[in-house]
Amino acid sequence: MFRFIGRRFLQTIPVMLIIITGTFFMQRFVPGGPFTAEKAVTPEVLHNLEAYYHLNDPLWKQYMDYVWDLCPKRFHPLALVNGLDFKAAFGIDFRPSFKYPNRTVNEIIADKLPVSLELGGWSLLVALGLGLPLGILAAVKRNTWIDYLCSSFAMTGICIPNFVLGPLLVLAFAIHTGWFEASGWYSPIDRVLPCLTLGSFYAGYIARLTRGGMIEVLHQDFIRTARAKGASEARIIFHHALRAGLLPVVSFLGPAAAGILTGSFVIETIFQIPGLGREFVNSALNRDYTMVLGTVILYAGLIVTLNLVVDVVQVWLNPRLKFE
Amino acid sequence: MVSLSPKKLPQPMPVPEPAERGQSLWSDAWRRLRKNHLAVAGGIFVVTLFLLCFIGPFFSQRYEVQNLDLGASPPSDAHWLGTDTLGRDLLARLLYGGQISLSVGLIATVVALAIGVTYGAMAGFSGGKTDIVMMRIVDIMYALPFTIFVILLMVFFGRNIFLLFFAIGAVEWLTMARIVRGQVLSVKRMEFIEAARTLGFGRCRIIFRHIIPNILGPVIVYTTLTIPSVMLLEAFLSFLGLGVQPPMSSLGVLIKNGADSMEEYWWLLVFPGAIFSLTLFSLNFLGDGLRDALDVRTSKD
Amino acid sequence: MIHTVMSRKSWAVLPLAAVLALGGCTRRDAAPPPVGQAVLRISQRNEPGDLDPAIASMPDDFFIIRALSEGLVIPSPDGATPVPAAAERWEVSPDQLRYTFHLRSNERWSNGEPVTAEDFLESFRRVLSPGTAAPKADLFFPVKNARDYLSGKLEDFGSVGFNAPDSQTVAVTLDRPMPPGEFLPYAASGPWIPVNPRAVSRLGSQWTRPGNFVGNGPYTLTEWLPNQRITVKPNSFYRAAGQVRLAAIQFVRFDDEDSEERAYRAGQVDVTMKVPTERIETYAHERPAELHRAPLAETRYLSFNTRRPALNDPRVRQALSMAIDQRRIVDDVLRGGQEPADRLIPTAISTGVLDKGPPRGLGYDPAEARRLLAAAGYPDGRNFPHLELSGWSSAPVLEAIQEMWKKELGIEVAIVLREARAHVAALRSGAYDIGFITLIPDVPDPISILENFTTDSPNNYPHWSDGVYDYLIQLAESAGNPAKDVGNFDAVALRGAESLLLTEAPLAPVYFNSKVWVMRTYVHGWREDALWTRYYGDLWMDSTGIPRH
Repeated sequence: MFRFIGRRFLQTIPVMLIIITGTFFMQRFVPGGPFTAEKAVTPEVLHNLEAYYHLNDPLWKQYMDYVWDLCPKRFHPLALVNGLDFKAAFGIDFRPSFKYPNRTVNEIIADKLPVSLELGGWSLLVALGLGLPLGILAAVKRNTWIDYLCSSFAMTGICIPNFVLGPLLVLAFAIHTGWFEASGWYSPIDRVLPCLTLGSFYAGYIARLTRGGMIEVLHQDFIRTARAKGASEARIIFHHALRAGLLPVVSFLGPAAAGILTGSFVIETIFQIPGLGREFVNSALNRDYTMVLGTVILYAGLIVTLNLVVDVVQVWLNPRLKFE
Repeated sequence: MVSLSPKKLPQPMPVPEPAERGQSLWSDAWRRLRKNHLAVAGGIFVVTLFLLCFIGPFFSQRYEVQNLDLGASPPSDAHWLGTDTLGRDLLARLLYGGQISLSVGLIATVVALAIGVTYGAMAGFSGGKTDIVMMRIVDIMYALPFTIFVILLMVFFGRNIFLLFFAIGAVEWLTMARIVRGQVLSVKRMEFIEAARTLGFGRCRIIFRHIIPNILGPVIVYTTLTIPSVMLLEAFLSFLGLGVQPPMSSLGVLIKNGADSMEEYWWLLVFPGAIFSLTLFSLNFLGDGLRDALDVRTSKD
Repeated sequence: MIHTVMSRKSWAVLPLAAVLALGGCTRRDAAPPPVGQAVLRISQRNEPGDLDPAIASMPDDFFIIRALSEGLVIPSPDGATPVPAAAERWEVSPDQLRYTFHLRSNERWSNGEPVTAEDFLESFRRVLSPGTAAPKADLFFPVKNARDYLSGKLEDFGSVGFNAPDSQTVAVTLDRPMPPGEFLPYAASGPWIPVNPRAVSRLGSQWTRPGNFVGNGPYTLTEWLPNQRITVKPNSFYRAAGQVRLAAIQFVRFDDEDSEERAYRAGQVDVTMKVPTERIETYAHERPAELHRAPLAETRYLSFNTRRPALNDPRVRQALSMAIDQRRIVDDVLRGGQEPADRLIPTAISTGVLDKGPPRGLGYDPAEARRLLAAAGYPDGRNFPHLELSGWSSAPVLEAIQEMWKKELGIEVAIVLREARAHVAALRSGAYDIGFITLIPDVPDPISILENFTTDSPNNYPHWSDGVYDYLIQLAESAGNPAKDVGNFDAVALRGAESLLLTEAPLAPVYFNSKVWVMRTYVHGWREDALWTRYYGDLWMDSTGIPRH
């Protein structure tokens, strides 16, 4: 297994390089730049700004400089504890943001990542907590009214867009009843509404995948054998079937977790959460070149890591699969 | 004792009546699908919606005619579903918006299907180095955050609706390719494929006559499930302000505008929202039903 | 077995049902909060890029900066001449080339140090240094040699028109004569706000963090939670510290006007930036005392790309302009108290001289528009090329204009909504037909609006070139007379330029924007001018609604 992980890690490097290069050049061909505004800056000011950000250099040179800045140059992993400072720890410099010139991309991401992780983590728990039971129940009671009810309920999360569900929840539970704040991320109770909104979406997918996986497994021979041997229904479901039935959920969760952990733009806008989701959109709209690259690298890194985790978990769940 | 005279050779046994009539995969599946009431309801709804959205606009009012004096008004005789803030008939805009949303969904899905199935089948069947390289490419593209990629595309090419289809299709094919490859890999190992190979069937024949029919199940299911997720994506782009151009509407644009004014003009949210949600429900149930019906392994009821 | 699963499921459903059932109808914001510290919560739309006055460029940055620091003078909220701030008085030389500001003796930094003229000069030098890359350094261009120093042509700051005869006096020498009404708004603008040089050199880019920030304004920076809120508390060293009556101000971030409005209703914020258009009428009916409207110095206009076919004919442009029913758009589409624009210079800043017989735009006259269009060769819109009407927001306005042109003139335009920067880039490069765009001047000076349409200006989106216009603007800029009034060359040139612009119609002003927001009735002393400049020193809240915190 460790050889597998090692090999995957090595394979990641060319992948990341391709992604960085692609994003770097793709951005430059989009019309408008970080300083494009309705009132043009005067030529002197523009010249100074471009010099400050090295935008005057030839493009290939800017690219090489950026890639060099990204290369690790030292090894002090303990420095990571202090606000995820990659520059101090590994010599990886993500450079200042264009939009927030006195803050580096590293700093901005380090500020927002924990928030997104928290939002995503709780939402995943909500999703699992809602989706798994609904899916299992629907699978066990297939094609009965219980199945229809559970499936419909789970589907609500997918079929009502979250920019409708969110405000509805706020109207109902924050404005009319006053149970929660309408927005903000200050006290623990502020987590409830956003995580409910975000989680309900994934709950739908998890419920359906669980249902599908469980149905497939429940019809297999070894289940029939277990039943014939007199195992109780609960033991069959939870001990025998669930392990295999969860496989599709696991392979879905991998990339979905990357999406959910890097925040959701809609949820963050509605509930005013200082997470990363807005950065993904705003950095592209602001032509904040360094920020876009920072978020892309983060996202790609997360996906690669989570894919690896998914593969490992899949082998653990289904011993018939093997590491290739 | 039975004599063995040549005149009394034993008669061949009569062939017994078949216990069951043989049925093809498709009629089997259709029969099972009919039993799933939710899926049937979903299917009927989708078909009805299709007809309404593509034929309805010929009979309804025009969707872009404004009536600034009227402004937003609740459902009435003149406007069955009310009007929006510029005085345009909501029913007409809803039908037209449904047309746009469904078209986006269909075309993007077809694009994703075409690219994804071909790519995935080739990767899965080739195996070895080709497979690894092809899937690495998929991994790389997967690791690009969709939001940034689509925004950059839309900004670069302008908000052309055809580009919208292309951008979304270009992202959805990745998952399709993965699924197809996975299915091909698992089917490839089954005995009947070995048998076919032993019998000397060519590669193409094996792919098209043996492998593809057996993976169609998940493919069809995923196709039915991609359409709603494409529609949701389109709604998200409208939320960002990057959706279809005015005065065209899509369900996403209508819902976004409705959500903004949900307390003052409830009809602007309720009707588009209901149609959108019901469409998604229906497509999802239909997809689930199809999966249940087509999955050969769960056919033993 | 199944029973356990079912009961588990109903166990999950119960709390949800309970919450729904217990929903009462308490309106949170109407409940009287307990008396506590008076903290005012103001909504902030965009996260400040930076709190360094030299590097900040957006009005949103200056919302916060102006609570923390002040310049020599600050704008007056009613649009009149700027009022004293760090400087208590000033003298103008007879030739209007030299301004001498005398600093207050009690002007202090928030760390107790006195604010000296040298501090001001050092701040100005910093803004004008090419290495600082200050985005708004052009607001120093009226000062002698400032432009050359900024571009690097001049290396000695001593030759720039700033001088400190003593620690309490700042002397400014201008490039060309400017009356106080014209120059002082520059001195009141953002980049002229000073920074404490010692703090900057000691802390570098970290000097704007809470706890490090040193300013000379009514408040100091105590907390900055990125993308959540910024808290400022009174600065005890402020020259008028006695007048500051709030315990703190919190700038609470809201990306979205709908979330902001919901938060206002839930009692989380006291002053908003905007009210969503759909809700204006509701507030006008239910809470009229909380609804406020104020005009802005912002013109929204259609820019015609004068290099395109059909649009290169002034008659076509005039026809297009005259077919727009601005009153309709303002009343029925926008419904936010905006004003139809009958000229280019917004009412909010065209006070005084220019109002005496000001140039009026072409007005709304569909019949005349049809006649002009026919005269230009497109009777009833026949053979008119298919043009694109582009913008980056305000879809309803564009749709309304599209309809008006179709109905009145019989021409079809296609609406193209682009993303914001792509839109501006397209306008700048001339890759558009008709574009909807906003014009906001940096200072409330008509020249800063009109000079955008000279041949060389990078903001000349219509790509229009008119020698007479360029000459008139040049005349207005070079002539500097003691007072701008009727009979004065300066004003005549300006009026002539604006008239020419409106008649030749490379653009069609549509409306002057206004600000509509809600504010609690217990908030007093709100001062904000038409260019989004605020003064926080007079704010206070009465005891009827001190929020809890």
